[in-house]
Amino acid sequence: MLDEDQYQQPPGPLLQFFRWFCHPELAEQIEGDLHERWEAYDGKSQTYKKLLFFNEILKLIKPGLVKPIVKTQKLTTMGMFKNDIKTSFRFLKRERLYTLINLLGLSSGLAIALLMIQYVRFEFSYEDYNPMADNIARITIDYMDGETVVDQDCETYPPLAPKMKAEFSEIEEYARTYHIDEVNLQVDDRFLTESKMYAADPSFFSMFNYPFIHGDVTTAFEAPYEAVLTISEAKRLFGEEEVVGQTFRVSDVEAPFKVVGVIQDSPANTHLKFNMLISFETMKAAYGEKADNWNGNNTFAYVLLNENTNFSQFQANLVAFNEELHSLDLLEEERAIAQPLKDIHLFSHKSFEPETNGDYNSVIFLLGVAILVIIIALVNYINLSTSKALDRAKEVGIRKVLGSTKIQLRNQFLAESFLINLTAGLIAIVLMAIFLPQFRQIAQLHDGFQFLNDTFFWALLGGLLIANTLISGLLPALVLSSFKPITALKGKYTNSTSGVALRKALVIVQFSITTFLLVQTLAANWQLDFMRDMDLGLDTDRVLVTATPKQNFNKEGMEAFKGEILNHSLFTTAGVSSCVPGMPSHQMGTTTGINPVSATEERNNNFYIYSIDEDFIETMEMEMEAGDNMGPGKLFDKVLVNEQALKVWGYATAEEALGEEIKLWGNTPRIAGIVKNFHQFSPKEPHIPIIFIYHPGSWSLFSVKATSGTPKEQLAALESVYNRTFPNNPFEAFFLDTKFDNQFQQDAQFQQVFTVLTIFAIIISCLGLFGLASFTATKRAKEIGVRKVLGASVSQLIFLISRSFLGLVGISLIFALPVTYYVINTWLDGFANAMSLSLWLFILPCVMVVLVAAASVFLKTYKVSVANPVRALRDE
Amino acid sequence: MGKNQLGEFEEIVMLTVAILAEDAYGFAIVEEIESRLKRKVSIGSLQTVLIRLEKKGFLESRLGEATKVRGGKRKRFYELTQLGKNVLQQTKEQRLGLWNAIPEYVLQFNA
Repeated sequence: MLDEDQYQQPPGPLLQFFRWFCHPELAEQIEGDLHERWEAYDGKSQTYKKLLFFNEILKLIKPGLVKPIVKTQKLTTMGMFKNDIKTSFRFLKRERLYTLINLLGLSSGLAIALLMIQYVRFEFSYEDYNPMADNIARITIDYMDGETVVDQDCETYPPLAPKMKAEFSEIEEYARTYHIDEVNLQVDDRFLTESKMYAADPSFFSMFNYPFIHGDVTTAFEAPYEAVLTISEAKRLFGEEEVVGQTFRVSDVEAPFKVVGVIQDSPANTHLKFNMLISFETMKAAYGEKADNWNGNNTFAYVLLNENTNFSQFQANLVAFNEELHSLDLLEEERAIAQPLKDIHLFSHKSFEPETNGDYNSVIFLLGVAILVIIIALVNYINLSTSKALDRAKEVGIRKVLGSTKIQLRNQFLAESFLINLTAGLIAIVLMAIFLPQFRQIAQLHDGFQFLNDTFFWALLGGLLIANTLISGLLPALVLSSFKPITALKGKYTNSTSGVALRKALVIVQFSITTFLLVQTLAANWQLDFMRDMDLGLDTDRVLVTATPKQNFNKEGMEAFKGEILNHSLFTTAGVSSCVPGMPSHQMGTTTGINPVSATEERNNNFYIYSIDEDFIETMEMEMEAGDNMGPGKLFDKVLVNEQALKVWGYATAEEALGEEIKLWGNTPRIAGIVKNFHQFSPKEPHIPIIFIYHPGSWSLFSVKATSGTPKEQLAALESVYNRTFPNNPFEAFFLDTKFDNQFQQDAQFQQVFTVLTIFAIIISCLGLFGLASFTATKRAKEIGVRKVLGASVSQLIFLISRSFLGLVGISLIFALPVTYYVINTWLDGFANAMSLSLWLFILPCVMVVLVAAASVFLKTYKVSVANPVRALRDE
Repeated sequence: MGKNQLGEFEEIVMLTVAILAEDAYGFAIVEEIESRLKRKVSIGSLQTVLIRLEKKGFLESRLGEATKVRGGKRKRFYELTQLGKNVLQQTKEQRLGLWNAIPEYVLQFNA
């Protein structure tokens, strides 16, 4: 044996490593063996010995020799937890109905509410794709009449943004875009239409985060006739992605356009969606735009502010800038204001928005309702489990006698609640995945609307489940764990009233919410019907609209087309115009500050300009209030106006205004006729003042009235006439009533989403009521048996049990109705044409709630009431 | 019978424990096997087998006293249980039975 001093220790780090992973019970004996092994290596080189030793240690990493991953000290708690889960599972399996109601209620509530929340988040995510979005502002124009704002317009004068950049040190960069009305594109010998084409400054790509996939961004858009396509547009036009260098033609533009870049499609969550951008230089070269044009405001302007610019400070600085513009006579009764880019989608409702924006209030409203649905589902669970808990007083008593601590008892109920919630969460995910396509359709969402790859969604779901578990598990847990074991075992708690007040209050909350949702849904439905059935002041039925040809459109062609239509058996009249009802405001021109020559006071209101021919009014079946129809003649000789315009100018009667001259673009046309108000937009919007002129240059739409035939035949007939008269032009037509109806889309969508939510809320509430009723019925089975033996009739018994529940529902109605009345009144204020509130709007939902509640209670009480009393009474 | 079947290495370890009698602890067994059978045995694989055999009830063990060698670590001594002895006996008889069943000329020819 070696001397102690000479004894060589095995390498320390290796031994430490061994001690770290080895099972503590085995460490000692094995370490001893390792020491002997080390000694046995004697005579070999140090390095080789270490290698061998390391190999030996590695071979010790074996199951059975390494430390267990779960610490042994925790075994008891783990065991208890396992036991909790097991008993919970048994309980849930035994009480199938109870479990089913809880699962159904929770999972459908979670699914629908989470979908809503995802939708709300999407609405709030606008412009998030752009990292600089927080520092970008859009410049818009307000039309002023003195200090009051008459109208707000998104579009500005082209030189405004460059001038601002020159004068404001806080502006780093600007980008302008200009929407080009629908054009025809020619790629080789194919013709396609394009309605989402914008001209843009070169800075647009960096400011709005569109890196080039193909092409060079540094040189792009310095010259006219350059185009940048989105990937989908490149595929649509050329069938492939790499199209830099390709050319195509645009109707009415001489020179061919050259593709200089390809970028990603605009995301779904931006207010400015486009298929194609052309260089802003093209505006000057091809569209006659001048650099110093302070007359036509048709340009969207965005400015990028310095990192540390205070937005409200910048807004305040604009006041002085506006004064300067006024002193230079560049702006008249207008002012330029800034608006944060991220506010556009939910808060901006100005004229000429690139797309219809969302509405902050509606979105918040939906979010609120989603939360209400979750509350309803949660209330269900709390109600059912607290009432069920009384059933288990004996179980708790025995557990207590056997030495359970309060914490252990609480854990038992938490485990149960956890199991239910977890399962409900899983079912909710499956439900969401299944109904996502339907939801997308109802809520009019784009295909990219997803939730599975969203971390926020998972965090929210996890958070909700944990919160649910705690809230819905703790209440019954607290009630039960506080039972005194002796009273519980004596059975006194089975008829206890503890928790009854809470349950009653919760049922009232639940049904108040349900009633509110039901009334609101009905109101949304009725208001939509009301607007659809309103007299629009025109007839949109059987009117087909098609674009006038983009190539070589002249008077002869138009006359030929009209002639063919008039001779056709399916059609009666055809009119031409620059716009048709139901089209967005940017289809019309606007001019501010048109006043009668005789006016003593100049007003600065905004007027919409409609260019029509002599047949348009008849085709649309609009009505004349007074005066003559439109007719050919000198352009600024005469105009028609609508009633709203008279109202703006302050004329009391049509006769008073007839023959008056107005100041329009330096001319003084005479008011030749007055058109009765018609709804250009959805009746949600107020009437707008319109001036009709006869200006063939801006005619762009044919409207054709059909008398007979199916829509398909009418469309086919129109197409053949069109192709015969205007060869080489793509034919595209729509039905006016469909187009007009599209304006209700937002309201209809809101109403549909709301209906779905309400149906779910009702179902979940009734599930809860059914559960409570069945619980009570079972509880009172003996009482019912005795009553029956003593001669109570079935109907008396049903009434007896249902009474208390229906009483609660009645109280809910009393709570809900005043609030609902107030909310609906506020909501209807947003409509220019609101229906009058009828009593039925409130009576109908109340009757419905009571009936549905009664039905769900009846389902169970009936069964108990007709049962043979012997069955309930025989065991004691 | 089936569940008392020994693996090859298990059998060797049991036999070695028997050979070493009172002195059968981890590394002694390793050295004994290595010197007698000229094969490498890692401590890891031996320990797993020892634990398994003890669990099966073929071996039993006790901790010895601490000494100055082995870094002061105690040894764990192993010993055959009655069940272990029976199993070894059984295994031996099975082998012998097989040997005896071989016709004599088969082995002679090969020798």
